[in-house]
Amino acid sequence: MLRRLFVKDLILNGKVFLGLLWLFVWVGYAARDLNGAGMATVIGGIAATLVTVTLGAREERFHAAAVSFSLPVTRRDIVRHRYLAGHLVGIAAFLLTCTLLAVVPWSKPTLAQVFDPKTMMFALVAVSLTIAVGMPFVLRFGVMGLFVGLGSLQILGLLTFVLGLAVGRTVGLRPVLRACERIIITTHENLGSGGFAVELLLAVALFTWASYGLSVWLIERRDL
Amino acid sequence: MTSDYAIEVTGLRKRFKGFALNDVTFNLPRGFIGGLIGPNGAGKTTIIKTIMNLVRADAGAVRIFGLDHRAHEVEVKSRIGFVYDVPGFWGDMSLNAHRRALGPFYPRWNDEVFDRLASEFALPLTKPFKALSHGMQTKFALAMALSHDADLLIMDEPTAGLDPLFRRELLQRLSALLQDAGKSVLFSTHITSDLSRIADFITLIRHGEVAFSLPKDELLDQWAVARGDAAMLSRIDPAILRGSRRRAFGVEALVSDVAALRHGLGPEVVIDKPSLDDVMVLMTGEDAHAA
Repeated sequence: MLRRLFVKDLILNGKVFLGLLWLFVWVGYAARDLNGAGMATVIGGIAATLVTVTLGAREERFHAAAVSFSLPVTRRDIVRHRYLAGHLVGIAAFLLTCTLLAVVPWSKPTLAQVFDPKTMMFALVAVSLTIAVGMPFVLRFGVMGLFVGLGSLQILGLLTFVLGLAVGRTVGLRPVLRACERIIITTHENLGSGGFAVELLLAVALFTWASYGLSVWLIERRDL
Repeated sequence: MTSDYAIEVTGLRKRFKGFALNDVTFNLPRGFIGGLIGPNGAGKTTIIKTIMNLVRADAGAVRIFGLDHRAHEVEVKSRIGFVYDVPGFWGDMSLNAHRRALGPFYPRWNDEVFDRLASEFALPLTKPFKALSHGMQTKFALAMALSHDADLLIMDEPTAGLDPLFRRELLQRLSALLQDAGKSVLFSTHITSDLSRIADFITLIRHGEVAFSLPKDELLDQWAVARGDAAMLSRIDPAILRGSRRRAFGVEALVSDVAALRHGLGPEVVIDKPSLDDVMVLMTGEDAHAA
């Protein structure tokens, strides 16, 4: 059943996946200047995952969700497929980006940099977290909800900035960004230690499992 | 588990803002065509969507061929051909792509049948779905629904937007389906003339409730429309009065027992067989006064 769902999404959303080719063209083109090979490959994986997570948006746009939900599959199967497909597509995109960086003659990153086991594990974590956070949100609020959520964060940031100016105390975003950067770098570095890697992967797997349960709960209560 | 019924709907309830299905109960025996009629907004589409588990009921049960439609969702849906009120497929993808993507979900999907229907309906298989007119989109939805040897066809307003010629052809095709024993059809429509031709059972939905669910022949043989002056209404037994409305010439009343009606009224009252249109208008029209 999951295979049929995967083939269905591949056929009916082929154009969307083809759109990802631009990402690879860019990676291929920019390979000569890329310093952070890891960043490019992980972003490739996340972008492809996001595309898969938001496939439901195409169904909504064409009012085709009723077709998917009237097929002889359970709603749980549909969610399971979306989680699996998200991981598969994300990891495939990551590996494709790695391969591109490895084979393009003008590529600046070395093979060791491209096929760094820590980065590979980091990509898996990033892909899983993108799905685990994005899927329930998209299922509950739709892709418009995702845009509204991001827009709201922008407005919140602006309001905070204006408020800071008004009270004469600027709220710097830089420390927050630095903290995020530190978390990412520390996580990436610590993935070299076996114990930390196992703990992180277990935590991400648990979080993804909880997200899957929430998505099933949401979709089983959705009226079309 | 076998059942004599293709569809059994029992005590269905669903509440939305400003609208509710209340205790909807009706059955469709195997091998028959059932029609859901009612004005726009009565709840026909919600009932059909609930049967298809596209809408989750607050209470009640739906059994298809004796199986709970949620507990046995995969088995049940693989035996149903479904046509939507607004056919929604992936607009930028070709009809052929849809066939390749959706056909394999059905164990009895038959490409030859689909090709034959596509040819009969003159469907342009290489064109994207959104390039089709509404009528052609409905034809495509029908071709998909009829290509997997479904035991039960559920169609929501399938004839809306179709030209009269194709409407007639569709109705003939549905009748022909029943020659294959065991096939059943449930379809909703507000074009009651379609149901007059082919339906075996009629269920009238009014304000989210089942006003009646009867065999069509019983309805048309035993029910009647009486036309007379305003005083006529007071002479009709309220137990058989199902609806009435004022007209320029007097009053029209719908009754559910023509024999009792004849017994109680004089020759000045005109009694006619009702059409399904009469039944729907008199029981659901804004100026209708149900007993």
